[in-house]
Amino acid sequence: MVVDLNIFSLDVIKKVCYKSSFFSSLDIDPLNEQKVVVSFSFDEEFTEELQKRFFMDFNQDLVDEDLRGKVKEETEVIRNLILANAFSDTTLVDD
Amino acid sequence: MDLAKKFKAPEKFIEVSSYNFLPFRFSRFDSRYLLTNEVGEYLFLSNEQFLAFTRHKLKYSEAIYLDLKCKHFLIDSDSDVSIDLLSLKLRTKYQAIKQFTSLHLFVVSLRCDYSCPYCQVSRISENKTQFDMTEETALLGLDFVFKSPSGAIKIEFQGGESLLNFELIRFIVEEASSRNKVEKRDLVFVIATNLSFIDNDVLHFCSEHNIFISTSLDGPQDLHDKNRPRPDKNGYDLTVNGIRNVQRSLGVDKVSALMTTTESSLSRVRDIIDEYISHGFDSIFLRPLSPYGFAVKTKSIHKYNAQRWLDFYKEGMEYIFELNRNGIPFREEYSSIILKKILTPFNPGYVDLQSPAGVAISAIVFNYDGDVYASDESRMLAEMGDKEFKLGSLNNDSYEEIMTSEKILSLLSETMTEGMPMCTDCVFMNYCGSDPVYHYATQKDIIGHKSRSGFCEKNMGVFKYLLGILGEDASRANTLRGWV
Repeated sequence: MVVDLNIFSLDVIKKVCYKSSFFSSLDIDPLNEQKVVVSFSFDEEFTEELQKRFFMDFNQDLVDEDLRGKVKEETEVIRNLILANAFSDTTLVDD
Repeated sequence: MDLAKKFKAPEKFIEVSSYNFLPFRFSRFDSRYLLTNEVGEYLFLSNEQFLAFTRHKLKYSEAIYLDLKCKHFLIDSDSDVSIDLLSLKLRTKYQAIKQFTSLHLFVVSLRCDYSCPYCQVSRISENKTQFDMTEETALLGLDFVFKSPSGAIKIEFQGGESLLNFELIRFIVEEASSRNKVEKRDLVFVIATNLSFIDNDVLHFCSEHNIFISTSLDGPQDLHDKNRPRPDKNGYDLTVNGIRNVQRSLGVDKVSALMTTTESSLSRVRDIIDEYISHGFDSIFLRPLSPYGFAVKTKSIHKYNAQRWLDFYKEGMEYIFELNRNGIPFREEYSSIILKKILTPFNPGYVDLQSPAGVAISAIVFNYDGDVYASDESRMLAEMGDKEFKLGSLNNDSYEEIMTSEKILSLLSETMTEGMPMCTDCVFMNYCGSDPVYHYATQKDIIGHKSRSGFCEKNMGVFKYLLGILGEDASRANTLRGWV
């Protein structure tokens, strides 16, 4: 599978590969500066039907993981504020 | 002038589409999306709602907007009270950590009169008294107990069969009670016993000291005796007579029972629940086997997988809903623990579902020989020859040396689910926890790969089942809310 790094970051690809490694052994190799190739090898008992399902989930996971990264980025400051406010004795929010 | 001309239209008072996300996790859930946040609030969104929300296109006028706002998934210029509320709930959630170690387990003897193939403790036969804890070791254990800053102290006696060393239990209870006149902690005692050796003397002592009894009941007679063989083949009779005696002498609330699921139990969940009801219990803990001790040696652990246990659990839950509908109040304990995490900001303090892991800071174990372990499962592993989670010894190490040891500190820092691969993004993270001993026992790694983890598969299955009901079945959801 060729994945365009302009669409999904390498971090996102690695996360999804890690999650998927139970069903397949995976290799990530650079194709060029813009793209990587993710290669899969499945056990014999992993049928074509299961492989089809696997690739659908893999693609959906890329999209979800990408969104998770964006949410994390967008909420990082407020998350730190909540944590600081929760575990300090000051009233940081009012200050 | 009519009212419409006196007042501006409602939309003039609202800044539309100017919300920010508050931290949340999400996952596909059947044909919807499930969202959870740092304090365990949850919400289901349709695909369309989810897309609109994450693209910042959700309109204030849409009902789901207020749901997302009320449950702290978004914040807008209308109010920033969410930050204070989230902080408060988060602080409440972690309050238990400040309390520090409450549960202290004394393994008073490894001897046992049973020969259960699934035994997670690797018991020793009845006559080998060198596997009993001594008074000297017990006193060192009590020194350790009262160094804990916790205001509530629970001392639980474990075995083998703990009552085979009842004289030591008597000694520890009297000594601890005497020390507590000065310490003034909220002190509770529990004896975990198979009830074979409970007699009037023991009952009288338990009554005097307000001691709770915890026993094992695996189901109807044939199943119980198969799972828990005793040489005299009278294990079930001794257990149920013991339960009756405790209920009669100490009160029905003073005895609780635990079951262990074996392969033979899988098709018998209704019978098992009926058995519990017949003895006056109003709940059951549907507990799978743990991968330690004789459960591994005898390969009992390999006879069913997490999915088969989940089927067993769900069948049991469906039966429990049926009982409740028919006017018999009954609950499943593991679900109750998880529901408390889902529906309240309070931490139920269940050792296996904590982040960081509950090892040592929630519960600590003193083995019969004075060795100190991070949890009951840790000493089970040690009895198999692997002392990875041995923290020290009462005979050689001080409280300070053990509790600030590199072993404990690294165990705690490495078992925060917030930083674990896959857990950190898991929509169920706030309901779950770390079990380093389980993952070490099954994968030789305290974190483990979650897609290969039976712990993960089991818990995700339970979370999905319970949230599915809370999200779409009002009647059964009401029953579940009553368990918290």
